[in-house]
Amino acid sequence: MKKRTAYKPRPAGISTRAAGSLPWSYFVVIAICGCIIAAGFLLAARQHFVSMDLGMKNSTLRKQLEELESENRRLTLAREVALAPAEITKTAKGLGFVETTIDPAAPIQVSAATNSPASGVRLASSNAADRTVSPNSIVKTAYQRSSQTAAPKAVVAATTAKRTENVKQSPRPDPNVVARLR
Amino acid sequence: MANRVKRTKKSNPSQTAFARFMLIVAVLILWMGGISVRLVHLQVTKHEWLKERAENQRVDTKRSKMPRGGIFDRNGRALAISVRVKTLYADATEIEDTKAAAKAISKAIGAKEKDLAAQLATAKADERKFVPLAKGLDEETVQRINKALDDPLVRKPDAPGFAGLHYRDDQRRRYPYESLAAHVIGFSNADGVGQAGIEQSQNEALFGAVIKKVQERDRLGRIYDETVSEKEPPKDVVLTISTPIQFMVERALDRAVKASQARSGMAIVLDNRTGEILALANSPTFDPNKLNEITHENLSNAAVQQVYSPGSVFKLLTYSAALEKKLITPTAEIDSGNGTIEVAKHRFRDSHGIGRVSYSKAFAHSSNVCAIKTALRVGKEGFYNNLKNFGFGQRTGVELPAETKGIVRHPDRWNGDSLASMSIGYEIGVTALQMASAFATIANDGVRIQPHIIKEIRQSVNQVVTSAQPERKRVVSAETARDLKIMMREVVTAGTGKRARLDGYTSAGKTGTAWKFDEKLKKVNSAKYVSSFIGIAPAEEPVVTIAVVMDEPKVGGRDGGQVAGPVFREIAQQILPELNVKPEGQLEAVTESEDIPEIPLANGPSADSVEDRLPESIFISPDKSAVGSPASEDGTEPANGKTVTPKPADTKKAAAERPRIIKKEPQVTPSAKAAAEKKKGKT
Repeated sequence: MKKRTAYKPRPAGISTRAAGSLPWSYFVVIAICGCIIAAGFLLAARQHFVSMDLGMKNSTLRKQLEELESENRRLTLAREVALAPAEITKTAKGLGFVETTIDPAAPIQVSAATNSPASGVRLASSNAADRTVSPNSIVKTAYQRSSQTAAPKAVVAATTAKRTENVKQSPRPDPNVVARLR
Repeated sequence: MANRVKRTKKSNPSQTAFARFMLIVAVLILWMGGISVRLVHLQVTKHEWLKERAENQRVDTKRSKMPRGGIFDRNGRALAISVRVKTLYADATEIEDTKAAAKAISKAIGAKEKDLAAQLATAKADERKFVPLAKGLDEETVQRINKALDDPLVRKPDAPGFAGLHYRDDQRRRYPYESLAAHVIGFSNADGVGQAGIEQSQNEALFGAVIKKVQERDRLGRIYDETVSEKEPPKDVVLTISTPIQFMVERALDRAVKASQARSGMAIVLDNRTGEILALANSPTFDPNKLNEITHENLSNAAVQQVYSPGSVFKLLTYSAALEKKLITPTAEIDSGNGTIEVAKHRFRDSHGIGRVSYSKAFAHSSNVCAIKTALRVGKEGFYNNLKNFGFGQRTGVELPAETKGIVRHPDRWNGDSLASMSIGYEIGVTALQMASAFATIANDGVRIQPHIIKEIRQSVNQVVTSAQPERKRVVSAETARDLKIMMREVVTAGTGKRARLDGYTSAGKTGTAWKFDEKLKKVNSAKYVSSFIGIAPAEEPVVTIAVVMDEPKVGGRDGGQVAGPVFREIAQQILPELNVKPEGQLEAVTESEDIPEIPLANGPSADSVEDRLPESIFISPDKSAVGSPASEDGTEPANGKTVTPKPADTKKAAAERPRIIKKEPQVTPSAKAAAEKKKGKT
């Protein structure tokens, strides 16, 4: 009679012990699991932010690459425009050079009797003796400075240096042959 | 009962804990259930709506076109290049006060405030999200506009700092050398599709594909993830053209066209050793940067798209057939008789009688009679096969659009005198490139190398996708080619092409002068010429073949030697040093200083009678790009260009303006002298 409480079978897994009397090892396990989960979350968060950061950097670099390519194209275009014959002509005229002209319809003045140098390019000079140049200078010297226009010293120096370089590069005829022709 | 209550009150603490625990669990279940229901509602029922909203907030999809591939010359100089530009546009739905916005924007971009305000107001009413305000803005202009429009109160991830304004990436095609090699390069339209030249023929390689960029942005507008749809980048096309040579050729041609007041002109420079086209020029030309200035007259690439009657330059083919068959040698003699020959009731005559001369001299003096006699010995089949071997009547295969085959009829369709006419360059239609290729074949010791203008197509600077593999074919023996070179040499030293002599170099070639077919008159017009000179230089070891064709020169001499010869000379004189060809150090041995006239079918059949034997569209007016005739093999439509016949007074004036040249009396036979006097009298 003392035991009035009817026997009730306890559900499995429920400890008969009071909550406060759980063994410390349980807490340790729970703490470890919690730490692992927290660490996992932290790691995932970190990776997420790193990924975002990398994405941003990647995007910035892509943009930079596009801009650099675009800039490269722009500079290439600027260089080509600067090297275009029309621009060179404009610059040369601005510096006081005058364009040489070759009259394609002009009859050739050479003959067997006159072993003068070739007609070559007729230059802007008024001196008839200067009107012919050797074939070497035909291509390399596209312009000749007008005698009336004074050239800045720097320009003259640069032009002279370039001409010297061109003369060095250009193929030269045999001196003996040239002497014979003259 | 009281006991029972008491017993309940004194219930087991474990049971209490269990009940509480279950309560918590129930609350949790309810809470989680609620959340789950809500989640199901959001993720299932409202899935689409939320997804769209989220994507709108963070995902940005952009479509942009990759820059179109570049076109470069053989030295890597950019002839056509696309640059990025920007288009400033307004999203009208984002603009609150259109009037205020119009005021600020008009100041920045220099537009009219009233027009802009009206435009924005209309767009806002229509809820338009793209209202273009300024197009083709370069980086400097963009910076300037950004500075002018910057509003510190507006927080936007993109420039400009002005509500409702954005930029769209775009591209613009630029041709830095302007009109240089315009007919070769062509041009592309605003959509980046090639419309002419290499731009058209290589559009597939050059075309910049549209790429899709999916960008994910954070709340500050920073892109943290980007997905780009990969597409094959456009390729660059490297041409065989040399910019300096092209410039020299164009300049020389342009001057000559202006000096002779010719209707048009064309010039081609071929490297006969490789088949590479170093320059291809047409005059008049156009600037591909200025599309509104392009007309039908200056757009056509006549060098490959128009056929013409070559005249005497075609005698090279006649003699090559005879030499190949070993019927003649350059030193063997031929009698031109009294300078006339009758074939199928049609009489052909020489401009001046030359009597009995070597084949070499007959070629140098451009004797029609000797060429016809030679062709008759060769025969129809032999002559026709020779033409086919040289590539006439077929496209050369050059990588330029709308190349014509030319007109070469099968012998079955020839008339009685067709062989005679064709031997002197009539009754046949050729392109300048075909003729240049034929001469280059001779220069290359009889081996024909397919002319080509594309050197390589590359993906990047170091990655070549395809490179030119021109077809090589022996057309005539090396001995025949050598003999022809000797004969061509004499044309320049003592024949009709004296004006093509070079200083310090040797040259060889052939002049050609042909009457044009007049579409209005429906017959050959003896006042209209096609004058040409095709030559090689240096004569011994040719490096280049240069073809110059002038259409309807009006002022000065009209013979090929007088009009086109000096152009050849100017071009060769300038480009040979450029090609590092060493001067041979000696002047041409010149024995005569007079010009030997070369008149097409001089004193021969009248223009009316020639008409019967010419295919209708052999002579093409530059007004029309269409070439060929109903009878032509390529089946294209006949040209019916509008040509104006000069008045007799104009012709006299032109003759008077012709430069006077001191002449020695040419050494001719008495019969030829008589014929010449007769001709003078007639004139």
